Amino acid sequence: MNASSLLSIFIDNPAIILTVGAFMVLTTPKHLASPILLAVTALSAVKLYTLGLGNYGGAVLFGEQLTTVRLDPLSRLFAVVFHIAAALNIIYAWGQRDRAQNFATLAYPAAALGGVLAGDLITLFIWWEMAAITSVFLVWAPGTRATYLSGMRYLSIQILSGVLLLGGIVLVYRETGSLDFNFIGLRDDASGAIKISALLMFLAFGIKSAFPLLHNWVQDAYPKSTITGTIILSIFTTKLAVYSLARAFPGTDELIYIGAVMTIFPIFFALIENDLRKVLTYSINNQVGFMVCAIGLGAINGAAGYAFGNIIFEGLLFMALGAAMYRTGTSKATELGGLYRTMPLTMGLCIVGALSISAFPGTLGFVTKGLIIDGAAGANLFWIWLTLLFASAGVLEHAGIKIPYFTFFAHDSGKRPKEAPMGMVIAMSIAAVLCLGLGVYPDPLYALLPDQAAIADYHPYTPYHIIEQLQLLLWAVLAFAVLILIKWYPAEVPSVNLDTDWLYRVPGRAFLGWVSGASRATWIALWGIFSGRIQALMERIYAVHGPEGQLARSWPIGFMALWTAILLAFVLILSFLA
Amino acid sequence: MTDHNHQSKDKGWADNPTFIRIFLGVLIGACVLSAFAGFVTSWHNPHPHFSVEGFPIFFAVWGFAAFTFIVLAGQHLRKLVGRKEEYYDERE
Repeated sequence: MNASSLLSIFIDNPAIILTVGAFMVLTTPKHLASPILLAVTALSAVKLYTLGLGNYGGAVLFGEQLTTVRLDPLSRLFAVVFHIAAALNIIYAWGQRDRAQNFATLAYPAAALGGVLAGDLITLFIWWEMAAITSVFLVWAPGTRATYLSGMRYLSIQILSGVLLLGGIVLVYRETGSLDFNFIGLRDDASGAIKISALLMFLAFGIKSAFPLLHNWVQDAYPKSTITGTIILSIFTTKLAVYSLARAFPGTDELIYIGAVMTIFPIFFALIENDLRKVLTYSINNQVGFMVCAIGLGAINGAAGYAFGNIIFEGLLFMALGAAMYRTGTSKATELGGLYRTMPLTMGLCIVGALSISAFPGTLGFVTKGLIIDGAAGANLFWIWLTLLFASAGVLEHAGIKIPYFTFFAHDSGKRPKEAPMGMVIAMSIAAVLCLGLGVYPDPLYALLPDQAAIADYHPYTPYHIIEQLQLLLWAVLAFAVLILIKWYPAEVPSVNLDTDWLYRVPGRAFLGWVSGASRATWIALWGIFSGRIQALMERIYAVHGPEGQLARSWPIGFMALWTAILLAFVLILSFLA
Repeated sequence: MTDHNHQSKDKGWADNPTFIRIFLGVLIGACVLSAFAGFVTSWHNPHPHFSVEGFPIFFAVWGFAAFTFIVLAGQHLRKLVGRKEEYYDERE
């Protein structure tokens, strides 16, 4: 590898530019951190724009060709929205002085971006692990024992995903002789059997995209971070995993059903959850479920487009809730309410996010979610289509209504906080403008979608699309109004709800405690037996050979005379015989 | 404390009964309109995939039923998995 190609690996990679920027803020004055972070993000975005589609940063490692930057329509869409999200996060946290968080604010998106741009599996693996390591600083940021434990659990699960990925990569390489990060497919073409190599990678992606039963690290770690940390965390890891599934496993039937389950079960947990930040983490599961389902259906435009939209409108909801939390110190529904009086701007922007995630016509959610619902209909999967519609009503319930209603309306908490700080309002406003602007005029987003042939035939604003969606959503809102009026809507109660993390936090922890206690007791017992035997042996040797032992006594002269006589007699007999 | 009680009794615009009546009126009006729009056959999906799409108020019924089911059935999940807030603090 010559010097110019080595240089190209570094300067042609927006992810490296962001990473260098992240390290820069570790040493520069704290008050300059936000401007530097934003400037570096802009520089990276310019680099992305000037690169254009193609492969860059080629390298040869142990005789294998690596492509550190592959910019095609699919990776470009994710790269663009990652830059938008990173910039919004920096503006939202403007003036943040915590070095570790400022570092992670750029290093973590950089890692996710690097993964999205990776053209080979080795590069993917490196960024995959970098995303785990850089993001855990955000979980640890509050610095409490609870966040420390949660961060360790988070890191363990993320590293497990990395180990599975590495195992998958090794097996894929052995089978195909290639390290290219392209379609892998879960099943063998000839026999139809599931390939172990692909299954390992599928599980690695499944952990990070939070498949059902593998999902609970999201709720465990994300809401424990700082206000800004939670927003950043909510965006990148799961979307990197969605991208990876879209790249390696499009059209995999299993994903249709996994995605459908993902859209349903978080709805019920979100309904009963009191911590609204946790409600939004269940919403992440549900939203990623739509994307996973779309990937299974082969509707890559739907998956990618919805990932783009979700990053903006789910981010907006997290930001609005974060602003309320910043001013009141809580994100619990039982302690919030009535904030619309003094935080009208945040309330209005939150409602834009809520309308958008619910996919009301005129919003970013409507022009992207329709691609997925139509994908299910196009595949003639009636029950999946019906499930996605059901889940859409569920999204309206927990993200569209519950978040703004319990934060800004519902019962009056008596809190009268100031409006959100300027940086937060600006970031939320940009997100809201994107939600409405691209909702009304989606063409710039559609131009970025990977399958241009398919999107050319898609028109979101047809009468039946609008009527179907309005009927579904308006009548669901009516159901909410009726349930509130007849007082059947359940009141929020301060509680914690058990989920799959309970398995390793309580019985798993108890089991580990038992195993560690049992192994300690076994060791002590075995050592007792062993050292007892050794001691007994030493005592025996001492008894025989010690100063008082039989072998230590002095020999009498008669004993020597007797032996001399025996020896002489033996020699005499020997010489007589000879 | 006095201030707090005083503030708690503040009636904002969203608590005004007139606003609530207007909001509900607009919502019901919009629901009725969307349901009626479902009867205009020229606005139906020209290439329906499922027979239910031909039913004019299918989406309204499904939206209302799904939301109601989620709220009424979902709240019982709390009995199964709900614990006091200190649950994990006491165990970790």
